[in-house]
Amino acid sequence: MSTDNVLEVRDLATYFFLRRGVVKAVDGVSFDLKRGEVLGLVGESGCGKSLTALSIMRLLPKGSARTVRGEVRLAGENILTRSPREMREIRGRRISMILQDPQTSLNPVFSVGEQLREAIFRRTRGSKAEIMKEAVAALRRVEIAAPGERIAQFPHQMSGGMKQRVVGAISISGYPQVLIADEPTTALDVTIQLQYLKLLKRLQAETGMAILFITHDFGVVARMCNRVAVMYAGRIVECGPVARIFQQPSHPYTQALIASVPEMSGAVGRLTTIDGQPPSLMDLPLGCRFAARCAHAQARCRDAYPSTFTVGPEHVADCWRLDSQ
Amino acid sequence: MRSLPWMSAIVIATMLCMAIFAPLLAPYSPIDQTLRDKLLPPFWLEGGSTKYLLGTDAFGRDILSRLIYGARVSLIVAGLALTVGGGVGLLIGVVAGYTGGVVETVLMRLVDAAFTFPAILFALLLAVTMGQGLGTLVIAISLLLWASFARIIRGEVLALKQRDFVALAKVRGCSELRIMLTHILPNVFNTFMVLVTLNIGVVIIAEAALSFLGAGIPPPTPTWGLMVSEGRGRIAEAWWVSLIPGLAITALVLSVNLFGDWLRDRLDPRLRQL
Amino acid sequence: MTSGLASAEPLLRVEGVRKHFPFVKGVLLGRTLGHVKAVDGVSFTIRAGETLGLVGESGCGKTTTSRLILNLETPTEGRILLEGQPIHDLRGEALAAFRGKVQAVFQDPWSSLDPRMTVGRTIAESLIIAGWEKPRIAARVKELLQRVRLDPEHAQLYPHEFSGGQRQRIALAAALASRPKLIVLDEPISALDVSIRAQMMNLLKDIQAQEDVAYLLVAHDLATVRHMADQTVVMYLGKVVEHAPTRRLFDDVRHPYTKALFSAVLLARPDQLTEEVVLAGEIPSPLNPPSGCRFHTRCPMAMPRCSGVEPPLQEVSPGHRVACHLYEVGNGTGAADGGAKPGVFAA
Repeated sequence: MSTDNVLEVRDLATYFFLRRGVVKAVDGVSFDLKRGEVLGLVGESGCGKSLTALSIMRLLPKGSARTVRGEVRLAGENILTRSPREMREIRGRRISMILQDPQTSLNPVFSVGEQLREAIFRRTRGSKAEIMKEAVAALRRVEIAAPGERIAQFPHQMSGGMKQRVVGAISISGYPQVLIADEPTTALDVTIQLQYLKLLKRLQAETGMAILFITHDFGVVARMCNRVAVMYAGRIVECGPVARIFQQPSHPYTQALIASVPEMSGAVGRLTTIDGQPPSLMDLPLGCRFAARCAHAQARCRDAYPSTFTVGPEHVADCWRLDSQ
Repeated sequence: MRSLPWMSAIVIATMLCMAIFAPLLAPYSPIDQTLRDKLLPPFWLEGGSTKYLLGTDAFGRDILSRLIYGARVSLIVAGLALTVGGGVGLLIGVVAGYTGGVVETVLMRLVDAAFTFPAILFALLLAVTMGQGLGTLVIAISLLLWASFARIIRGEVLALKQRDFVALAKVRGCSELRIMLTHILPNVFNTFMVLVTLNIGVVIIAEAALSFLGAGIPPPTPTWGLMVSEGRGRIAEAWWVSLIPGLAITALVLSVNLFGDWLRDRLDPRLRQL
Repeated sequence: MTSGLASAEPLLRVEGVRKHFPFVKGVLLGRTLGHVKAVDGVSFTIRAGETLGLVGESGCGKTTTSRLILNLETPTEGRILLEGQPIHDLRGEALAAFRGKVQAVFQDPWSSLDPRMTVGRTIAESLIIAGWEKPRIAARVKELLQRVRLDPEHAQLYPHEFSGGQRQRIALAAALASRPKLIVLDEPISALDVSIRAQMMNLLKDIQAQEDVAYLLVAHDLATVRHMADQTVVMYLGKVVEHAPTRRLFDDVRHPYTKALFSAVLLARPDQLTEEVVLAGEIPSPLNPPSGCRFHTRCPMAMPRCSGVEPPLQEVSPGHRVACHLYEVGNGTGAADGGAKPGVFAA
């Protein structure tokens, strides 16, 4: 394994075992996350991106969901085989997560200071005063004004943007190597989103942590990510450096997705749409999962799932059209 | 989602059959006294016979027949009390929740007051002043029920009010009354049905308790509660007189509760998708 | 696209509207501690068949404005006129007539449809209230489902059997039933997937062309507004800060807040990273808005005057109005940095 990679995911698959059938929500996902980089994971609802993150963190909803195969190597070791106790040590310290909804990420009955204290205490056993000082410093790092006062406040006294900052402060208090951010700005106002993304970038530069940034917004990807992976129906269909993906999107789904977003310049005309719906995850087709909606589909596409083809430096896509033979 | 609780369903179905087909099923009349045959034990015990399968009480009345007819009374009382009490609670809950403001505040304070009320005592008082009978009993038990229905339904309505389809109904010209009838009521119906099934047990026990205390349906009409009460003095020698109707009450209430749990899970559309 | 003469009475007139919600503590004997000035002096007009985009962030008042236009709230001050007639304090037939003319589609496809009604029944609602006979209603429901590109045989299905995008189309069909003149679209696509949004926008534009219906499009996404709106109004904390025909606004942004909004639109163009205006601080609470110009606490161009005097909404070029001291006509400081930002925003 390359020492450049802080996280390596190989053939990760998580299924839901229901009475009606098996939902293959994540079905063979592989990618590398390099030290210090921001990798975007893009897709629409139901593609499996959030579940991929939860599988990596081993925070799957109890009951019917189970990771059935694959490896997740954090600095070389496969964390999927660790015991629950070991995972508790890993979570928060070496790999941490921020979620979309700031309302539900914070406990409403505890003050911000107490929640930070809890996170800091796990890492360093200090006196109450020392921990409080660290907590105030943590709030200052996420650019919250008057942190000394904010520390005693409760979540409902804060705006959405501020809550997300607090969540950010808690998540990075353990100085993790990897941060998974699952749509952290989707619920925020646009100007607040920009503030937050800049903050995230700054923190990343300071700490050198790698970020797996999950989003549906290509604009956020362009702003934040070094590389991006596009997910569809449980698999990654294209992956590459951000500039290349935008200049030369090679998978028809990526192309259609980028084309369907209204622009801020150029003629105002009819938008490109994608007909049909994603396939049911209980009843996946044998071949390419996008074939039913693809304008370029051939017989080959329905027969076998496309291999991975190289389009450019570090740029790959799973599409038969790219097969030069 | 769990599968249908078969035992509970069978018990409930049996009780319903007993109630509906009582005259066909009961071997004897429930009120005929045959003093010669008093206090006979059930057939599987020494001294019992197949003539009286579950034995007789102090007046020589067949326990099985009284049990069968008693089912009828219990279910009628339960049905009426749930309709009246549940219905009133539903109405008040919907009006309070949807209208809001002063109306809601006043109604909810009434509900609070109802909870602090010593209901059983009030029922006894009613029985004394209005005389024992089906009507009094139904009113007394309804008074027990309506407040909890009202409170829960009102909570549900408060949440429903926030949903966009209510605002959109207004935008399309629906009057407040029409919204309450066509949008709010159907959406609280599930909760109402679950409340009904969960309270059947409460009602049956309330009826039994009131009959036991002498404030229910007057004898000789058999009710399960009354039957338990009548056997009180002879628990030692003739335990079957109280125990058999007691077991019937337990079996029915347990079955109804289990069935109600299942029904709630079944009717919740979110769970339905799994 | 538009019917009638340009000088005819506009379809909708919003005149000096204010909506202040009292902030009350205590249940029976409530003490009014203050007022949330959700909408505080808003005026604009919409012509028949055109789209007005209402843009802003949390607390700007756009949702309250749309609710006022839908007659779900009454203004504290000012008035709203539809086809020249005031829309508030209506009763009986006049109210029913109004309801038929102004309809809405809201943001959340999961909350907009009554889960216990078939979609056909939901679509038919305004017709049932108007007293149409059953066969006529059934025919119209089928026609409407076809209009929004859904299978007309699906009228007897329930909402949970449809996807989010389909539900929004059903909501649109319901809004179209009474042949309204104006539809208020409150963030109609933000809860939908990216590829579905395009479908919905195309559909909305097609229907507008066919039905000659006007839209009030409330949105936070400037790209959507650019794609759909003829004129754009930018709101901040209850006030209009900029108002112009869309093309003109996108070519020539003036107000510092609007510039920040534009800057915050992340383009899917990594090669065109624009000069960023990052605003400091949080959006203030509408309960206690800043004095003078409400934006002065976060404005990178704030001058001493801004905290004391509220800038009036003034025309700086034909059809283009801005509320900012930087552009105040007759103000000695002139247009300091009011120049256009061409390049990325030029159409």
